[in-house]
Amino acid sequence: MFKALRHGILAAVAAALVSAGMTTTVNAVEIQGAGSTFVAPVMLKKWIPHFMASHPNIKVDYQPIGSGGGINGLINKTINFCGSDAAMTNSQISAAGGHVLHMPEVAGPEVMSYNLPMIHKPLVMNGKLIADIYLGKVTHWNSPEIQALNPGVTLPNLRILVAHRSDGSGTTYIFTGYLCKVSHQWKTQVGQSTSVQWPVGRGGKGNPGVAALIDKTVGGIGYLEYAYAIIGHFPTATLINKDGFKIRPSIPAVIAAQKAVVADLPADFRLPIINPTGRNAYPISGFTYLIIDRDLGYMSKAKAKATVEFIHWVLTKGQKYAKSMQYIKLGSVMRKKVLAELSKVTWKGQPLN
Amino acid sequence: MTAPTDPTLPHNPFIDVQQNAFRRGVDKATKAAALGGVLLTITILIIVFVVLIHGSWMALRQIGWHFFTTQAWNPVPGRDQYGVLSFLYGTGVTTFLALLIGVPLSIGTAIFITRIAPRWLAGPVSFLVELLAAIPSIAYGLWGCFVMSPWLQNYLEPILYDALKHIKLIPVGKYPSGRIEFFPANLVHGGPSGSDFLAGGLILTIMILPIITAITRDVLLQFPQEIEHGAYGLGATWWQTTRLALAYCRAGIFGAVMLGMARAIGETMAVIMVIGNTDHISASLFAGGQTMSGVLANEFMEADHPIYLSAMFYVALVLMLSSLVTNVIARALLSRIDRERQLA
Repeated sequence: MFKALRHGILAAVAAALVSAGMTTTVNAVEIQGAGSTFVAPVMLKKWIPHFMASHPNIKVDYQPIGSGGGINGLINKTINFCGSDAAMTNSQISAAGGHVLHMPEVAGPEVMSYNLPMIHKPLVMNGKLIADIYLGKVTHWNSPEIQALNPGVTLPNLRILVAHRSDGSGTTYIFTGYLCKVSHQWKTQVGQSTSVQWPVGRGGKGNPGVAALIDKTVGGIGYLEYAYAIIGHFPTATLINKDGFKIRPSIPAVIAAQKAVVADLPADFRLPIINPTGRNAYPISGFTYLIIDRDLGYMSKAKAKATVEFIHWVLTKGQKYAKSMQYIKLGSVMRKKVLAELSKVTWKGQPLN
Repeated sequence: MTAPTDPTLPHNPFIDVQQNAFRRGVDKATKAAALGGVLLTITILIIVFVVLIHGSWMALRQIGWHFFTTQAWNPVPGRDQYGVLSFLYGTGVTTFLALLIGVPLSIGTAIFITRIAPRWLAGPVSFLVELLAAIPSIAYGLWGCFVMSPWLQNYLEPILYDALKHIKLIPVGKYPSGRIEFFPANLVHGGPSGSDFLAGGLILTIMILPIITAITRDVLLQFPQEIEHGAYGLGATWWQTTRLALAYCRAGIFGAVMLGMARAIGETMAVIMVIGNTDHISASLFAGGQTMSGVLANEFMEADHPIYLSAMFYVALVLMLSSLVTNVIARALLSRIDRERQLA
């Protein structure tokens, strides 16, 4: 019943869009994507408009309904491509027919932001400390664990107010994945998911909700998407990476992190860029993916071609728009690998190109 | 040829038969349309129930009644533990707080508009209160998040904290998981946070004010002039007459409160912006919580594995049933009050 409903809703949406599109281009092939809200700004403001300007015969629509919704759309074959911040699980892939292609299109780092007006230079934190704060084991800013990493800084005797996302999100998936990597207790007690049972703290909806929680309480701390924190000028912590180097969140630091993991990436790219080794690698970031069926036989050949063309464009010409929206583009080695992945796509068993 | 006429009616030579048949046709069509409307409404209700039960079937079978005794909500795949208890509690507490503050305020405002304010003032006040109803709930949410919540945290809650921290609650002990604190040390345990049950209750108070006020005002205007004049004539004071009006209009006012309560139970966006969104249960006003509609809005989109999605449907089913049950109980109470009044 739920599937049927979803079909109905998407069909209605598609019908509305088709009728809206009729007036301008009659012969356009229309493709429909849905999923990640994280990627929506660059997708809707840069990629789709620029792609459609140079490809007048293709119309692309993207509905930012959340990564889980996008994955469901792919499973039910109601959309042509899916945007997701989390890679599909094995059971989701088998529900979708067994063969999907994950194509990372940009990387999304996450920053630890805090509200301590009396501290003027960035605080230093490591993974264990962040995990202990989120486990409720470190409760005050002047506790010895924080002081040890920030010698010489006068820390206030303030309670730490922990903020997290209340809505299910890929951001939380990446963040809790990091905590699992750096804290055994987090892994056994809480685990990794788009929503988890938080031991302490308050939840805010979306990045703005978390930012508001941090902002209104002196002593607040929370995780934010890099782009959101940079645009909003939120203070961010310097993180100590796996090899013990202090890393500021920055575009080069995330590209360095990609380079560090590119050799170990599984063939299907289903791995977040968490806790990599390296002199300059930033510890918390993940890819956001475009996901399609490996065989696009469920759609018309024209649509299949248009879908592949759009994704190819995003991975090549589209990459230059990433930076202006504070996203982090793929490194060159990574990009080659992803394009090779895209070339595996077929239509009813036939290669598309 | 004469059309068959109703034999029980005396023959009326002034209404010609054809027109009579036309009138009956109109009657029949209108009745059929009304019946169709009723059937459609009932069908929609039934479809909603069927969809909810179908969607929650897996959770109903796997979790069953434990859903109501489990406080934990853990959607991590493999750990899957789903209980509605903390969300039921959150919905209950915020709705209760909203009614506790909102009902006296609304009825007071309605009395002011209908029985105290001069005509030139009643109109504008009435209009302004109704304007509150026109504000979309997401706007309340943003205001709550960026204005009310910091204000509560920095100004109101510290005052409440100092006033209430000495009122000790009987400690009933903690749940093994430590997530239930029923009862904590006092009503303001944990200190000011601005994102708590109190904030949720207050934002709901503002949202239910206009609906309760507007309906109460309308029913108070129905209070017959004859009774009012009679009461004054018998020497009743203004307050005694007002009480008489409230008693006379109690069914309507009760209905207004019910509508306000329904809005409070179902309200979503504004609440999740201020309530803190945790699955805790605590008698402390300053503890974070979550409501049933809140968890649906927060997590439905990303409910990515079958039992999780099914548990979300289960929450929706419980939400719908709890609105239904509160309505039935309220109606039963009302008819009982009426019966007792009639006997007395």
